[in-house]
Amino acid sequence: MKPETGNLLLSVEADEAYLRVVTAFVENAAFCFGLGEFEALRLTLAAEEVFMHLCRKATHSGSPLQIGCSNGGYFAQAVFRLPADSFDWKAFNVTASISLDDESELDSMGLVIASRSVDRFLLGREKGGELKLTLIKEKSYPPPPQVEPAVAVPLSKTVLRPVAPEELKFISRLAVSCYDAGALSDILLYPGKLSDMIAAGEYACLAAVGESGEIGGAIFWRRLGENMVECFGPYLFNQSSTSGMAEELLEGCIGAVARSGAAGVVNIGPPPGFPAAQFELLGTFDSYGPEGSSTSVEAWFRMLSEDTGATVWVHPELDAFIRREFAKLVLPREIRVDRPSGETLPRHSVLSAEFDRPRGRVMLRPMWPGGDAAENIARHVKLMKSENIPNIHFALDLGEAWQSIFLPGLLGAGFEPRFVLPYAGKGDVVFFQYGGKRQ
Amino acid sequence: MKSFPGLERLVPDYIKTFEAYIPSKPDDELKKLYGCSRLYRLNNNENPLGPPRTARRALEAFDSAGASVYPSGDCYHLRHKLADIFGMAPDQFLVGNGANEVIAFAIKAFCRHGDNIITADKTFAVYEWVAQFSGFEARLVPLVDYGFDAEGMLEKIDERSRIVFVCNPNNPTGSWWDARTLCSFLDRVDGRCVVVVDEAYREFVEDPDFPDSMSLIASYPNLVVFRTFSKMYGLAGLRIGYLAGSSEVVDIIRRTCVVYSVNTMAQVGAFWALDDREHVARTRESVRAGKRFLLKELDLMGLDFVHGEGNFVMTRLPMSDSLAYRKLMTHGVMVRAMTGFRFPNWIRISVSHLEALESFAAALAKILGERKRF
Repeated sequence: MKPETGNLLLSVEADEAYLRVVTAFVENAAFCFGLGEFEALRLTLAAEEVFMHLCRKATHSGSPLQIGCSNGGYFAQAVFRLPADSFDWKAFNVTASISLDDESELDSMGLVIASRSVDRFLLGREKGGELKLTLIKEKSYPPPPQVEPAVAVPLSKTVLRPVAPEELKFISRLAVSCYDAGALSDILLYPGKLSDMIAAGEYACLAAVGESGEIGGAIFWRRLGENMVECFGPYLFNQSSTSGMAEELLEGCIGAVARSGAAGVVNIGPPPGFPAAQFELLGTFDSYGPEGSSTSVEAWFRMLSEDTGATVWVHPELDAFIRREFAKLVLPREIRVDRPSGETLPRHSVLSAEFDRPRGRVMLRPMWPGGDAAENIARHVKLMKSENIPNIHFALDLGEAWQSIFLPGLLGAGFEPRFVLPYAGKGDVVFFQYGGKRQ
Repeated sequence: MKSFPGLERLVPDYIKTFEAYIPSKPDDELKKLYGCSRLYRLNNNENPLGPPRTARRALEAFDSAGASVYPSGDCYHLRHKLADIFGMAPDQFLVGNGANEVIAFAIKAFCRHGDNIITADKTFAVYEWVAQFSGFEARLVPLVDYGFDAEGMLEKIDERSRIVFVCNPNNPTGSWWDARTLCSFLDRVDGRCVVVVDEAYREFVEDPDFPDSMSLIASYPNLVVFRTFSKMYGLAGLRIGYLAGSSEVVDIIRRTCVVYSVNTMAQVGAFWALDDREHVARTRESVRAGKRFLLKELDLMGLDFVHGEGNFVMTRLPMSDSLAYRKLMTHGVMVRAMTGFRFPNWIRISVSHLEALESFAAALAKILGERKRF
């Protein structure tokens, strides 16, 4: 059953007198949405720091302020809507540090604490010009228990159907029994989290099921932003690669999202036996293990609709790559070559960093432009290297003209563009890898 | 600037989750984007012969001064003419701004919160869309052998079902119910809900077993028939279609109808289009010849295809349909990629004139050949 996905809203004034109301609101919402005590308190701490900073520095005292809390099933989030000039967002860089000797930096201490207290944050500009800061804290899930391998039998006749909640853990066991962990999406390694994600509607799943309910294969997918669906699989459990089951699962997934409004489906690092004929190869990147080993990971894509064309903003130094990729993918694009021309920028840029520590990966994304874009990228690379994260990726959205400010810094730091993900952001997104084959 | 609370709180959930349909850009823009000098449109099942001669003459004679006067709000003359042709009463017809508008009229007239409509999963999408963005459940029944599944649809009917939509012939598979199947279905529905039979492609059908739905209206007061002037009559650009049913059912639907939505040019074109007796025969002959050519070419390319009645053929490709669409566009040929119809890797080709079909066949053969070499 889909859990209650509450959306709670608190309207207060930016006044420290409301602090206890704000913290009680966020804490109780987090508990109500199923976060454990530690996670709920971390989200509360982050909200407290943001609110206090707003009261002290950012808004006129007594300005109206709305804070929303919502339940994502496997996470809870707190959303602040803020005036555009409320913060120097520098503190939201994972690289930010505070000098205790510099009083002006101490003001940002709360924001540094806030950004470190949550698993993810999103910073976006709303249509009315205000900013939306989303603080996200996930539930904690136990590591997968050691279980007996599950066994599947070859099936001669199957139908596709959604998976019942009680079948998910068994599918997870089947997957772990039939595939190397490296070939599996992380979601299959944490069955409890997978159940919550599916119950929350974040992920969907189809299984190929025999006449007596035997499960022969499965495919998973999730919405990735407004325009993209990411699919995982298809995974076959002891079924012949010529059974046609992989094709049926993939077609079932595509059929399920065909009228969802998403522009395309992407599958990054599909398992062996992936029916590639239905997709287009975007490109590859190298995945480095902690011991220095390297494997090539393929990124596959297909559009769900007829491409009606789009406009992209491209820095001149990326122009040749972009034109080559668009020609390869036959994507109709109006390319606007654009470089910064001395316009005034905020002092500090912000990058978000989404970590996948078990796999030694981080994905960096521009959140805010700034005059220190190149230095900020270099700081992030230095930090990731110091933390022994060998796979540093960067996603540059060609639909956001302001992001081209990051391009010189990216190339200068040693990133190289690997492929274009059509419509993966506001526009097409270029996937960069730090070092790549030269690393 | 004064700040207002966000609009999002005013939006119903079923609208928040609904994505707007994005139509293709105009031809001049598409040609620029895809770098082609001419564009054959084989995507919308338009009639390459255009409107009947009688309609052309009437449209050419249209006095532009008449544009300042509101049209007939209920398409008075057209309804009377349809009544004469089908031997029914004028109030048994309701004309809309294309058949899409009458779909919305019907759903608005019969559905309320908690109700559902029933149709197929792989058919014309507008029934499903209108239901969903109006807040009603669309129950989708899988096709069986590319045809509507009468049994499956009957099983889905419950006390909250209000309308069953049957696309006959089905777009995009061309499958169709004969008179016996339709009558049996109507008997088993037994008046529990409205049955809409969408006959947008009816005029292309020559098989005598195809049901004469208009004559069935007298026996089934819950039967509503949709027709359009966009396909056979070549008036797609003017947007005009109609529904027919018992006086009782049409009177109910009329209450949700927006008057004056059908412009004068469309009414004039449709009125005179019905007079051209040769147009239908000429079009059918053109479609027969086009289909012969197209099926032979698809066969030579080793492709599976599905076709039935209607001026379209659907074929399965060994590649993504959306990629094939983009590649064909660079050759100046526009087809319908069928993922949106839940037929991934299929394309639908409108049976147009031979020159366009030859261009399509040459382009597709080239694309498939490049793929093999690659």
